[in-house]
Amino acid sequence: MNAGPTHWRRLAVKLAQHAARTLPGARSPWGDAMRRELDYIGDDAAAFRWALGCILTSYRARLTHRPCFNARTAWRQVATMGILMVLIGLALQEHAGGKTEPPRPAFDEAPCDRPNASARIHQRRSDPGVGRPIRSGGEASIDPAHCGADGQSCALGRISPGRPQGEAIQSVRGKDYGGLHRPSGAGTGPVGCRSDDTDPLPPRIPDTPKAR
Amino acid sequence: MRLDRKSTYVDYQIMPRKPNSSRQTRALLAALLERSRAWRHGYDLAKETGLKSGTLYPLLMRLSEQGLLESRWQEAERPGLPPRHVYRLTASGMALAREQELAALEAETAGALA
Repeated sequence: MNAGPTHWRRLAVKLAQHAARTLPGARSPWGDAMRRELDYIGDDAAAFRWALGCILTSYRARLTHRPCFNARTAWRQVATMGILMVLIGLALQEHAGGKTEPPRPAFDEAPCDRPNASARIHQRRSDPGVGRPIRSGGEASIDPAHCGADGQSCALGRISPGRPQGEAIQSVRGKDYGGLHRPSGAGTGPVGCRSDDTDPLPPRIPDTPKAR
Repeated sequence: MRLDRKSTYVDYQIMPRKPNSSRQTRALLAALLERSRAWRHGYDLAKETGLKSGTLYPLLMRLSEQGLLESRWQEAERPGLPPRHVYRLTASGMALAREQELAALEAETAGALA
């Protein structure tokens, strides 16, 4: 009973064929010589080792017979790589440079319907009552005529009438908003919203003068 | 002792490495010289010298390019088998192999006397 070629034998033949193809053209007869010698090796393991040696030989010959590897070609490759690196660096600098400021955190705006308090404040800057400091334990320096009809949507009414001067009020986020707090009788909602609003974020009124 | 570049260059110029003087090359030349008139196969040479094919065939290629080895295709003795590549030393190859064999013998004798 004649068994067919084993797995190792087939692999060895494939490797030897690849080695014969890999050898440079001037040495291709040597590749055929190595490949045909496989048929005279009876042991499959020895044939596989022989094929591995053929692969080593062919790749070594291929690497040592590179006709284009000289100093001029190497210098050209180095110059090309340098130019490419400079171009990549310039492109990165153009797209990523100048961004030295850290990104600002997103501030969630309250979805409630706030009055435009800053516009009124701008209008009232000439009024001496706006910039007047709040007296300790006294009344607020807000003209009630500028408040809305319901008395709750008035942004200027957020200034506490009874808050002592200089005392900072911490908001729900632990930040100082310069003496702003919930107006009296505004319900349980957050600062800056009506009582039916549930947004916990405080309003942002950048133009409001702080009490001294 | 500090070696500068010039002295290193002079040392290499004084003692250049002899070609075909490696242990593997000497073993191959000795095996080919043993039956210098016969054509030898690659696998037989590998078994006799103990060299792997990855070492043997680069040596055979180099010796052939230097004109120290001649090769040809030989028809198979049994039918169904491909022709084999066979090798033997040229005249200059035999001279080199004899020279190296003599040098090895002298070195062995000098070592035994010392």
